[in-house]
Amino acid sequence: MTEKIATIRLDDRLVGQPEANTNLLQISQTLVAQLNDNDMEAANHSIQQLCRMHESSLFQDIGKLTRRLHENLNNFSHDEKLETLMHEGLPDAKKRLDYVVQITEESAHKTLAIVENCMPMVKQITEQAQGLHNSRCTEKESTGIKVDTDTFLLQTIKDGKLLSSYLTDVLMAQSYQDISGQIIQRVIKLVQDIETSLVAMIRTCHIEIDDNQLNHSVTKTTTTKNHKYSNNTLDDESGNDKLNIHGYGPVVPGVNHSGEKMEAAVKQDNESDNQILQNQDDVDDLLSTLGF
Amino acid sequence: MKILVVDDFSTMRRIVKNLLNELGFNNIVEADDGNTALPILEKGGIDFLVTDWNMPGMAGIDLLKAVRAHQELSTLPVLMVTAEAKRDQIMEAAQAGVNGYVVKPFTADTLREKVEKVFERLQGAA
Repeated sequence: MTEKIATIRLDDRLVGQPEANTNLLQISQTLVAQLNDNDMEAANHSIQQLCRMHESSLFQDIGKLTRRLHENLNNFSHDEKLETLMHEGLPDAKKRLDYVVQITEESAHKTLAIVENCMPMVKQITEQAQGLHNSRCTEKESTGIKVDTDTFLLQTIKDGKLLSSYLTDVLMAQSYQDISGQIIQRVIKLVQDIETSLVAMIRTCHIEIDDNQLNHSVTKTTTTKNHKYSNNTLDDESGNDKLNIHGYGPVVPGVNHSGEKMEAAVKQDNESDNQILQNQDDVDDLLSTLGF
Repeated sequence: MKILVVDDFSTMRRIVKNLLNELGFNNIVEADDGNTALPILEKGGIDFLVTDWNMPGMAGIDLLKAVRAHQELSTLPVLMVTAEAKRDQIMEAAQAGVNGYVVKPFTADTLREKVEKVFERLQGAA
């Protein structure tokens, strides 16, 4: 195939050359003379010669195109950047994001465990102080000690409640793991989609790919068992539709779910069914119009 | 009062569970999506369902619809706690018969308020 293309390219050099033009002119003049002489057999021969010249030109064009395509595909397969991106970059990005999900999850659980340990203690201290305060109020003791103890107990009750409130804040602060996790998983899904598209494109170009390597990098990620969108494979063509069935994910400030700027999206979607509500008050307002 | 908390993120299940504990609900079971939640519900004994929307397998909205379509579960109070905040989604949940809708990120007070509101309304209806 390569030799053939090389030959065509060699012929190609003659196109547009004075020699080729001279040949064309000579054959044409001969044809006119043959037609004038009514020598149809010779005229047919000249016409065939002209057709062959035309065909040759057409083949040369196809040859040039084929050569260009061949070279482009060769360049594509030898594009180290692309290979590195597919074999290392994308799986690496997924691993990093998986790791972020994993460590934030571990961190959140660690904090939650501390809060869970503290909460019963705080509750117990507060209840004991309250009980002691109630019982001491009924005892007839010397006024000075009673006042001091009562002050202490009242302060303990107050502090206990405040501490409990702080611990609840710590507890709620860990909800970032859910929100960030959902956002990261969407990025992972995007990376997987790009990878799948690249693999499909490279396969179309008949470039050899190690299937084991592909299976390792394209199939589902396994860092944590809670991943929402890690189950797409090469056969998964439903892509974005699948995401929408399960929802659109958390609101990301400044970005809507299609990746557009939020301002533009709000302008477009304002008062429409696709409008994204920004907070619980908006949700409550909407629900109140529905009789909630 | 036995409550089922459904969320694919274990941290969020734990947060909701702790907040419900603070409200005095101590009998809480967990599931990580609709597919695992439904058999628990069908087994009986659950009095209140708190579910996320966005989960692998069966999503929360489908779990809600399945609950409402189930003969024995149709009146179960359901609170949706989710990051899904599109107008059409909230309307879909309302039409499917959700009893309350809390959008993430939420505060402890918001959850407390919505849980109390669900029970107040149920008591009012009864």
